[in-house]
Amino acid sequence: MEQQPQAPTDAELVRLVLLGKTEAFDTLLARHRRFVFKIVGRHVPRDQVEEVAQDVFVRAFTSLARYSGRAEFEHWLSRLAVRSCYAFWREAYRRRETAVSTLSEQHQTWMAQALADQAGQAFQQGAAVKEAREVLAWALAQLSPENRMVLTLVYLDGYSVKEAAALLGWSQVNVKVRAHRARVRLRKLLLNAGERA
Amino acid sequence: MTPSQEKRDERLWQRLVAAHREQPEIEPGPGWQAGVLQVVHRLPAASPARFEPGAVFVAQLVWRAALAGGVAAVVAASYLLAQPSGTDLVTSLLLDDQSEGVIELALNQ
Repeated sequence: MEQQPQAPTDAELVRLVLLGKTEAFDTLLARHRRFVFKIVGRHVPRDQVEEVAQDVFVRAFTSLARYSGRAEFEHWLSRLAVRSCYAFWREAYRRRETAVSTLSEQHQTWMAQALADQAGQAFQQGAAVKEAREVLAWALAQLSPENRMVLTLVYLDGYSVKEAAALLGWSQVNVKVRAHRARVRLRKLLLNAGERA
Repeated sequence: MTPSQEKRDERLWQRLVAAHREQPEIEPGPGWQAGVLQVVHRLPAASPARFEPGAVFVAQLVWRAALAGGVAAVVAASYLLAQPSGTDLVTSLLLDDQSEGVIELALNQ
């Protein structure tokens, strides 16, 4: 029986790129683009995902020599992806480009229902989920880029403090303190908005 | 916060978390990959071929050497201070006329 040639591993592809065969990067990109889109899609607005994902791969290409090969390539890439998202928010806040949306009547109705536990059945419907996402986007926009990133990673994505610290390159104490403060701030924001609804 | 407020907050929060996690996946557009590769292959200054694969190793070596040097300095200082005339010796090293003090101590011993 004829044996299928084995696909090169990520580490082998990285080595080829570093030796000058930059076309090997095409395979790396094709292999991991969905993974990067998944991470970036959870952190930045949908219309910005392609641009930030491009930034992740450009960063990956230029810093490939720093990939030690000890950890999984995807793990290394996820750190670049999270840090690119953080850089996106810092830049957006600096330029004040983020559209700080206001809560519409629909959002306020949804919040009132959610707080009164009447949205349970309706929640599975697309419209309710969409409203929930918009309410969350509104609340996150009130936080600093640092608090926004850390809260999204720890409380929304479900990473542990240790994992979030490794992704952001921060100390665990910093992540823990910021995540807690951000959660308290978000809770106040949501409850105040809910009471107004 | 009262228990009922906490319950309300938790309920709202769980819905928001679920909405965040249930986001539909975004697929790259048809020309996205080609666009990225075009950018990447046009990066002359940042071409990985210009990076030396041993650069990371050299950087690690420098830091390790610095650490080893620091530890050796601490060990040497501790040894000197533990000697009977160690304090005098260290003091003389810190004073202006260092060579004279060291020679004098050496001659006395």
